[in-house]
Amino acid sequence: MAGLEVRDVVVHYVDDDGRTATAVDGLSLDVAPGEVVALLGPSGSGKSSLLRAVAGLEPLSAGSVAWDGHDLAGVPVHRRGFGLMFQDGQLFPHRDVGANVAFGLEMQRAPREVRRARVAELLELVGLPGFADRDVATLSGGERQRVALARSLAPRPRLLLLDEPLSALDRALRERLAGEVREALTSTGTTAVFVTHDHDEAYAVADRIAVMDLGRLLQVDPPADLWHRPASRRVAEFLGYQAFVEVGRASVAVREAVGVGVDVEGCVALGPGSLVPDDDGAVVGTVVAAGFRRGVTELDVDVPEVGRVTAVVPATRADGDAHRPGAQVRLRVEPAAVAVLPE
Amino acid sequence: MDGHGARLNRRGAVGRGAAWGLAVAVPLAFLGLFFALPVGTLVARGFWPDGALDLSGFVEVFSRPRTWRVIGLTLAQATVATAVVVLLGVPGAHVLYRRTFRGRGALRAFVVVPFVLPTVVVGVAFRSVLAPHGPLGFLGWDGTFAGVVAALVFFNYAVLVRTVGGYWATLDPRAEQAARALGASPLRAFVQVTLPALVPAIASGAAIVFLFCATAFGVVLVLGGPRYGTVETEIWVQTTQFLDLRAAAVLSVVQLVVIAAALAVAGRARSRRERTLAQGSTTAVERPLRLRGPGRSAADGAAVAVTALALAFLALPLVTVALRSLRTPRGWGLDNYVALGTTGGPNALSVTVWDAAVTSLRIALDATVLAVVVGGLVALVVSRRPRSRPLRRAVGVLDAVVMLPLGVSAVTVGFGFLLTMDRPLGLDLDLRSSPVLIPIAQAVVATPLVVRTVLPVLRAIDSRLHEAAAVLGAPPGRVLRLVDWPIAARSAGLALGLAFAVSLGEFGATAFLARPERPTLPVVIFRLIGRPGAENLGMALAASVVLALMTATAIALAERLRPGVAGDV
Amino acid sequence: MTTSTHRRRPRPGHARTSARLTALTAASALALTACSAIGEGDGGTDQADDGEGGGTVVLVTHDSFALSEDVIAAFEERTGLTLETRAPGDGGALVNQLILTKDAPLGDVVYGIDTTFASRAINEGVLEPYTSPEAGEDVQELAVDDEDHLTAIDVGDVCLNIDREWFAEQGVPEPTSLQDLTDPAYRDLLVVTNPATSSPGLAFLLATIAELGEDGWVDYWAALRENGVKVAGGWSDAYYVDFSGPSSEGDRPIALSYASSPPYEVPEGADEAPTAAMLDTCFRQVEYAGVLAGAANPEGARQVIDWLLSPEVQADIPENMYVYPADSTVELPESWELFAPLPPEPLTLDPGVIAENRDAWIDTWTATVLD
Repeated sequence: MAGLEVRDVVVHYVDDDGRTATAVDGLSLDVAPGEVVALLGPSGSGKSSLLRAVAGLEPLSAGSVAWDGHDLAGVPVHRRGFGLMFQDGQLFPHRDVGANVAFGLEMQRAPREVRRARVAELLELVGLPGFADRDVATLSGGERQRVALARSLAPRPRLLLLDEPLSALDRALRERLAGEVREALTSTGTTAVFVTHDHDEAYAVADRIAVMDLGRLLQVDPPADLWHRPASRRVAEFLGYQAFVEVGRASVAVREAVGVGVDVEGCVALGPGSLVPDDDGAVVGTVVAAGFRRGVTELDVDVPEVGRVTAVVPATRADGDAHRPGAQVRLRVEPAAVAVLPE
Repeated sequence: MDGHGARLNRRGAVGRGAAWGLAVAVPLAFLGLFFALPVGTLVARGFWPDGALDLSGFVEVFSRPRTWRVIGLTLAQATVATAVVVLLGVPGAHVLYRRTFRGRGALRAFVVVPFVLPTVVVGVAFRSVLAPHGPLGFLGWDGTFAGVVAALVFFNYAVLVRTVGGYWATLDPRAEQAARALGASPLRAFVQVTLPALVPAIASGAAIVFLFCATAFGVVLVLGGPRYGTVETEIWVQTTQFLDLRAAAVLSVVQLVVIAAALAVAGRARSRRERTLAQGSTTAVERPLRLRGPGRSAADGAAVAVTALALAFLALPLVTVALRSLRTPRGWGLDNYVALGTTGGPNALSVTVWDAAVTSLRIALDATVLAVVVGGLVALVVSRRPRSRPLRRAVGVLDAVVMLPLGVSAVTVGFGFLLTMDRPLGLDLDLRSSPVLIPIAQAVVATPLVVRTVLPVLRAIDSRLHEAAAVLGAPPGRVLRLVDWPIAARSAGLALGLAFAVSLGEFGATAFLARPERPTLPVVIFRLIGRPGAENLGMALAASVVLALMTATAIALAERLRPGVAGDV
Repeated sequence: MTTSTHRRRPRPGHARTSARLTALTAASALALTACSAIGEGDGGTDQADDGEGGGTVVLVTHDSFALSEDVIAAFEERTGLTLETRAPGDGGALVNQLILTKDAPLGDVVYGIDTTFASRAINEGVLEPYTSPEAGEDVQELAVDDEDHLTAIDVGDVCLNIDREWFAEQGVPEPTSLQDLTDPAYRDLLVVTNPATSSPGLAFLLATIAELGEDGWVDYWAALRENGVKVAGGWSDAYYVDFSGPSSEGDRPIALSYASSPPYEVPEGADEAPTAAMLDTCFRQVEYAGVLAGAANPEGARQVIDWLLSPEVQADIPENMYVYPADSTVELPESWELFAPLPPEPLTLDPGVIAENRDAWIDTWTATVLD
């Protein structure tokens, strides 16, 4: 077995009053060499604890973490050869940019010339060429995270653990950097676990996404599979599916509409964009609210027997009145945006 | 991992355990041998006079009305003086550590001078100022409670300014700026945002100041007149004059209780408020001081006014000493300074004052090295938060125990040395007359100051910086060297300077150990001022000026020797 | 200043780092070796090996002890002994330290036990008897007990000093006796020191007890208090702050000091002293030396006592320690003959009586004058 193997891991915290809380509860996960896995979950779901346990920063209460078949129990943090990138970078304030990036190389006792070349290479990779002599206190938030990424990559870690590395940044920067991180990870062939609570980020960066909640894994799949085949209602809800229809109990009209010709038993989940305004549509809903957002109009529509669903309309100037709150709107179902839950 | 690797790791863990064990054992052994043993032995003599436990001393001592008055006065003096020091010192810390202006370094060094001047000199200088005919005679403070408080403030101002200033200088100013942006007035932003963040440092500094005030000796004796005795002066009288060890032991226990209570209060305040600081803030912490034109602030103006007042108050006795040192029987002149190269009038001294100064410097160097090593190790250990609760408790206890030397009377330590150091640990080695004991005694006193200076800075280092370094492959030892040390070194200059200054000025314990043929500068000053005649007084004052200058220079140099500031370690 | 400029400068590379580290290491190394006091060679822990001449003899004394270097050198040369002195505190503390360390004595011989503590030292058994062949008539007269546990070496008289210029200027007659001081004419003019914390203070308390007796002294002090006596913590404080004498700036022209103080206030070439001791207020304090029980080098200790009584040391004592030699045949320095005459009839008390009552007297005094 190659790569990272996490088996039945349990992580407990004991607070000052002696109370025990379980952050990770019997979780297993494999990451193949060269693969980038995103750990997606709401805050407090235990993502960071799992990451820290893999890094060796938290002791395991049970289970094992292994790399390439070797159990890492008893291997201290600094001998694991893993990298860890924090949400807020944690750059060393007393070292300049170059010395921050070179830190891991110094630990490997790399010769000075090698260090210098590698630092230049990585600063180039993260888009900060010539920053080596800069004081870290003078960097912007985005620059700090780039330096942190360069610092993590410099010693060529066998596994890079990224703990919400982009969440402190503004949206545009986050989106751009997510792409760059993906690029940097794949171009260096780095195996990585990327913790985030942002779906777009997870989709942009990961080969596979692991959805985590309450210390357990709910589902691990490539982004497209995850989206189209959520393993449970919990996952679907977390992914942003809004309405759930028990097909067996629905009226014929709805059943035909959401069933989309498939003979479905069980539950169907409707995500944003699964309903599209169409004068020939089979379903009728009432507009609750309308909002304009980056080139599209989003309609909050209340559909009987289904619930509240967001319908997306390409924004055209003309539709203003038709989609006022209270207006009736006919909708058709977009099959690609509907997921069938296995229950 | 293969077997070899696992073995290596086990060895690493054992090695780390051993290293931490050593980091705990060295300070404990040092303080145990040179503090707990002598003090414990002397106190035990009081409670076990003939081998049997005799606690009747408690009943007897507590039935004396004088005891209660002395305890009350001790607490009152210390409390009032500490409050005044905090009120004056916090603005001082702001001006001296958050604003830049010409001559700041000199002022920073200057405030430490009172802290290390021998009490006998300060006593004479201070009384000259406060006595009915002195420049502040109109206040009527001579021999009053207010006079004692004024002197305690004079001595301890620097302690608070430096403890709070060192911490404040690393505090991210953006929280206060955010509050200002949210509409808070400067005062409100300070009171509601900055002040709470400063509480650990203020609590820390105030605790030390309280300890110094509650155990003040010489200055109370001189300035309070005989009416304002403290537990400390009472212990001194009972021990040296009456040899009533029973009463002294009871009073020592009282003193320990008072000090433990003060430490506990300070500890609670600290642990509740101590938070990690945002390191490497992008905002400049220090700003130029502007009192006029654009960029001036009323708050700065107020802080400067308070600080100027405080500094003037510090300067008055010092200027008095300096001026009187220039006065000779034939008018103004440098005669007293010329005389420092001699052994004084008719053989007043066994060595020249310069020789004594060299002796003092050498001893202070040794004491500083000892105090910084011992105190640094303690600070390092105490700054950690072990996972196991018993260990965390133990760390907390160590934190408190190491402060005790500040709260135990020098006479108890000095007499304790005489009792225990003839055969320390059963070794055939009479340390009582050894020159080694002097720097050790001074280091015992300086160690708590080093701990209190370095600890807040170490504690403020985000634990994730350690983790970042560890993940990048740094073993624990290198994390210490490459992360903690360079950041803590920013405060190491401060610690070095304070330890050196304390050692230079230490008189209480040194007086018990000093060798007549090798006196330190404070001992020489004490001897000169204990003899009649204008020449002896003049020389004593000139020597005091030299001591003050040496102290100020040491502090100023130590501040420059801050390897972390350039961030290039 | 340094911090701000450093902080803004671009970070230098690692070459500076190691240079700085090296400098730091070098500085610490220097501290540990060249400049260190610990590192210095020192015979401090040497023990006296035997009593046959040679070896080291340790003199325990108070922190005012001083003798000329050549006098000490001559002693060492003549006897082959190395004289080592230890001064673990002031006079009062000295005896108590000796009592505490009885089982492991601090040295071989003690010098500096005064009248007020003499009996306690003898009673506690810290001394061995020794009768020095050098002890003349004067010295024998000052003996504390018949077995010669202690040998008188010097006498010092604690007396009130007056600022003669002040009295001349104010046209007030100079006071001469203790009784004068309760006279309203001398209201607010006297400063003394606290007997609980200062040894001259204790001596002056004893002077009043010697003069006025067990029955009178308490009332006397109450009257002094009424008349505005000021109590300072220590001698320096009283003399240099409150006293109005020439080297002081206070406003009280009568201060507690020593019979030997006036010569030090005489300007060069002057033939009259601006201050004077009130000779009827003096209490005689004798300072004794003795061989310590359990001394490692008792023979050396006896030699030290003989030496302290020798004319060389006796003549060296006045200007080094500001007290008078016990041997009255020794010539005093010229200025002393002129300005510091020994009081003809100093007040005295029996050391045994002092030892018995000292603590109680101090308590009573405190209650009368302070509380």
